[in-house]
Amino acid sequence: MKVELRNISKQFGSIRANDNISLTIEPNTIRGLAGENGAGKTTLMRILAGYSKKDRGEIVIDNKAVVFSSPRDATALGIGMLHQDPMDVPVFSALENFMLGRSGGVKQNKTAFSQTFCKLADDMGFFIHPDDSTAAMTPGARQQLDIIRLLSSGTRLLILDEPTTGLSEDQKTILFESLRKFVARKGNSVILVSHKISDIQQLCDQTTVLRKGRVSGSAVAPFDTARILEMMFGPRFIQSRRVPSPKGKTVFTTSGLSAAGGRAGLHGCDLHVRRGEILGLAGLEGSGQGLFLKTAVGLVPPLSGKMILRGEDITGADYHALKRKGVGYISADRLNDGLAPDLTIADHFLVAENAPVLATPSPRARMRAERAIAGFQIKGGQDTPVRFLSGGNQQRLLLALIPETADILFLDNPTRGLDPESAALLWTRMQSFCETGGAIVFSSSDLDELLAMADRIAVFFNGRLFADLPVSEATIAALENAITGKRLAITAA
Amino acid sequence: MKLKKWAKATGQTALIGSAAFLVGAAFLSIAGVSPLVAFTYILKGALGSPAKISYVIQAWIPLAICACGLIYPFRTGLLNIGVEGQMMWGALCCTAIMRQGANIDMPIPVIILAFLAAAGGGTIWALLAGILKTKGGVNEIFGGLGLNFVAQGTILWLIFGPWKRPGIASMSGTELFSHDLWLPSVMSGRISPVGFILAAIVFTSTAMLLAKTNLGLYLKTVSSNDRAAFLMGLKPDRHILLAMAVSGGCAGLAGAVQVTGVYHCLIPSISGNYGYLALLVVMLANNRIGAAMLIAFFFAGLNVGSIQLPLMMHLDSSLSGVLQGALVLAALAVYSRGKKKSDGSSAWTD
Repeated sequence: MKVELRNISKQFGSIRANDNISLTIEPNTIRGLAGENGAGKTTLMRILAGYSKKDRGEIVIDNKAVVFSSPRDATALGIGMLHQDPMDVPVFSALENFMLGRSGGVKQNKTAFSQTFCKLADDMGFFIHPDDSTAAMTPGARQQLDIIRLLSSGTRLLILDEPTTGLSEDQKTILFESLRKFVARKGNSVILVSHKISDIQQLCDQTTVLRKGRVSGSAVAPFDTARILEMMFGPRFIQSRRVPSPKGKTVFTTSGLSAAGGRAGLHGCDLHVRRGEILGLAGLEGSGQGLFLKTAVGLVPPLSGKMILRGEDITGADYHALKRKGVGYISADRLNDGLAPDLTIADHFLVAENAPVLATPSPRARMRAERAIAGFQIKGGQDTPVRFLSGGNQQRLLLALIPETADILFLDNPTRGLDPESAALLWTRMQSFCETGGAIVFSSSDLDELLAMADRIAVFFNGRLFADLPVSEATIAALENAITGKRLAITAA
Repeated sequence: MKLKKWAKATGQTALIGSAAFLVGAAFLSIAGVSPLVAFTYILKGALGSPAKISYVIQAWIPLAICACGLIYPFRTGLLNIGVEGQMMWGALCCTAIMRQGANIDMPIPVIILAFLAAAGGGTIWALLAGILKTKGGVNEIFGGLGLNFVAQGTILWLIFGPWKRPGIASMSGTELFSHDLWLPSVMSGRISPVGFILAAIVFTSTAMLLAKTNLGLYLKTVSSNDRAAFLMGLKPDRHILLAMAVSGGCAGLAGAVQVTGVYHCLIPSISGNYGYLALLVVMLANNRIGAAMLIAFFFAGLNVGSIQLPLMMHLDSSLSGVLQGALVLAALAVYSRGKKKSDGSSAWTD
């Protein structure tokens, strides 16, 4: 079937998740939808599959405008979405999950369903059996179960949201093979949502790239990786580089640092940062840079390796101990991790003082709050609950909350989702922090920002430190290659 | 701004009150009696004479003490449904000391010791639920509910086993303590000033702690976002345990008041559902301690007043329960609607 999305817009609070997106998918094609996390891919697909309502725009299927009020409407027209996480009931058998929601009446015709199940699985080349226990199935097999469920309900446009996350290489091959078979049949098409360029290269005929809620470009196979990356990360205008501060003594070192967590974990990481230095961490989402930050500030216990802060072995020290030693941290997820939504701005300063629980609330906190609101230009009053602040103002508050005694900061994607003004304010503050001898380690998915702000860039790939180079030797091209794990280009750069 | 807040609160209260009144009236009409007459009987039954008021105060004391204690876990975002069991365990520990004390001729130290034991017993019972939550990840509602059954079972076992009356075990409880171990009382034995003073102390200290120290804010921080609380330097688990412990201690004291001041022995239904009722009180008060004390008085009045219904109108006295439940449900609906409105419509966030 032919699917057209016309001028789709969707707003969440102050964030434009989709901004006037238009897209046409021809029958019998596999379309890629690429973009970094937060680019608006999932939102757009949820709208197409009837899970979210669009604010504006039109969905046209086979030249007929349609309106979905629920996923059921989209399913009826043959649009099926495979979600990032399996949508099944683990305690059921594979067949029970397959039948879920569609075996009408009291009597269940298990045999017929079982036959359909086997035929579909066989057609697609999947090795799953109706009697398998869903809980015991691998993520790949559960995904296959979801796919044949969608197929049996007459799906002709199959949307896959990041389907290769957590798949082994073999399962990925089987999946891609089955998708090619599916799309070869009359009228079927596939949309593959992914931030992995390699997936798109292997499978898609054509790809559209989203960036910050808009279509930033499209390309036809065979793809030029560099061009797609450029569309994902934005045009390459070089911002004015900061004046590097004089570098002092090494303040923080890790050697062989490993930790468990995330998609790839963290393996044998050797890094150091000096006074006055800004170290940027690059890498695709979940490549180990976030876990490195969490481990460095004591939120995740290291499995092995060593951490040295100002000459002192701090391996295994917990977050609160490190905080007292002058380590500051800002999480990437401001409202879920950093701030208490129901508390006011002044309350946050009071809590951050960490006074004894039975002490009288100190009036200093209100003064600090007042100064911070003025100094960081926070749009809100002392008694404004934090949940009413915009993302930019929340981040300003988090910056203001960093204790004055901190001399090393770890910032996880500090400017993600920020308006340019807040981002500029953040970097002005950070630079003066470094000029007074502070050290900063920050991660960013924005390569321009890394090049503009960092003195050194460490690139993570698949849980390992892949490259560590001074910013003078880094180029966009080299970074783009390195974050996708291509070493050749780095040595060339 | 302040005026607006008051207007909003008054509006909400009126809305909640009238909703509950309508539900109560509807039930009475179905039963075929005039709501007006029934409500008048309840009012007269609760406040019609000094003796009746004394019954209300007698019911108010354990309710108020439990409600004060419950403010702490509520602030922390915990529903300490185990308060009932904590009250029972307090009563049980209190009784244990009193039974020993019967052989010693020092009533005042024994009673003081019994109250301390009751507070300790309630605290430990609450900490069990708290530790199950912080260390074992068991929701405090399930943990508390389970512990309630264990506490009830233990009390029944004691009454019918080791602590049974000489001769024959009885549902009416253990043997009465000797008179010098009874709390002094006024109003022909219905109100013990000690209990009343205890309630006043618990109320004042809770109000002071929450208003004048960092405690209230810290608990609220943990409730709002425990991860942020941790990042800002608090230890959420410690605050959860603290809130549970204080709540349990209060419930234990309420149990001791019932044992030493009202029943003078341990009876199977020693908690008298005051724990559950206190949960409703605090929900209805929306965590405001002053309001909780007034609502506790109102609920106590409803309970005492509705005893008139079977006497005068041949109705069951459970109407008070219907009214209390309707009030709380209406309140929860009104509060959550108010919060939703002030936050704007909730958006999906991917």
